[in-house]
Amino acid sequence: MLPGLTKSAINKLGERLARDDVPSDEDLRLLEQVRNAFDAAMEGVQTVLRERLHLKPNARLKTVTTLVEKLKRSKSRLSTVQDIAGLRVVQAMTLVEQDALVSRIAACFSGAQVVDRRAKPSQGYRAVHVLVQFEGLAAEIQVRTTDQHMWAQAMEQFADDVGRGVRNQGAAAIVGDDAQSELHRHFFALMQRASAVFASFECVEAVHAALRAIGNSETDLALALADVVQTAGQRVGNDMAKIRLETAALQRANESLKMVKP
Amino acid sequence: MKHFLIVYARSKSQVLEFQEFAEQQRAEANAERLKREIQYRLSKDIEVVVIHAESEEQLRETHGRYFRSLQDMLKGLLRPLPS
Repeated sequence: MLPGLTKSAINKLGERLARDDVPSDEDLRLLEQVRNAFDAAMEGVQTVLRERLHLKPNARLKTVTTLVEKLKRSKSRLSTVQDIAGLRVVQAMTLVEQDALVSRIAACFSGAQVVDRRAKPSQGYRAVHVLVQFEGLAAEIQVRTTDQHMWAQAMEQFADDVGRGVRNQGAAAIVGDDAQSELHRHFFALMQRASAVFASFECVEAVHAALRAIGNSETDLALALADVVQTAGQRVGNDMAKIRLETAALQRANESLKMVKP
Repeated sequence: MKHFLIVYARSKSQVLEFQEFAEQQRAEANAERLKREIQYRLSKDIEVVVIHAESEEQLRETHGRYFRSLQDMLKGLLRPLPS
């Protein structure tokens, strides 16, 4: 719980942060009280993951800039924002292993909620989030495969260039009809396709791993499945090769426009 | 566990300040973060964050966006897939 601050006071603070162009020193210090409480909860969650599951999650409090953006964008009340405290676990793993890891994490926290953003990607973003409570305060644990993570980081970088609205509103957030805006839209579309191709690739990889685990490649079923996996893998490989070529072409075009920083 | 203070300029994709704090300096790291947030509160382009991580190496893996260019990340992302 939050010592010394009522829910109403916290929500009023959120309203001021969303309304004012520049937060006052006083509001930043008030927000710090809220964030200190979340920091303690976040440290608690981090300790649970390290000691019980031997994971090495990174943790951070939502920055003032991103928190204010969220309050402005979603009209959320500050007291209900779920990801003020955020932790991240990134591992090279298949989708099946990701599911297993998510289950182990969720089992550590009573009432944990799993949000599978692979099933319903938002502007191409894929990951699994586990929402937990620690001593009455919310924390969000992002569980990503290496590929999901690399995609998300590339999109974050792109959003730094074109404006962070693109992460939530998609191409609609890229305004302008100049050559650079057009390239940005192409790039965004390419990232959406890359996300879909990675989703396919991860499915193929998971089936492939399952087949290896069965270790019975002599049965008709296993042979048939291996054939399907190989065909699907080739298709995904071809899709990725096309995206690579298009990205290279976009990057060449960008050199003059300086869209992508060296 | 270490604590890393990062001040990042989004439009330039540039880390303006990077400071490492020892395990027992969590409160100090957070206090420095608040100072920078007040200092940069007029700029929406500046991101101030403290990330708690096992090591700088791990930090660079999970928050590569602060340290690597988009081109560099795309190279990793769009590598040839294993057949």
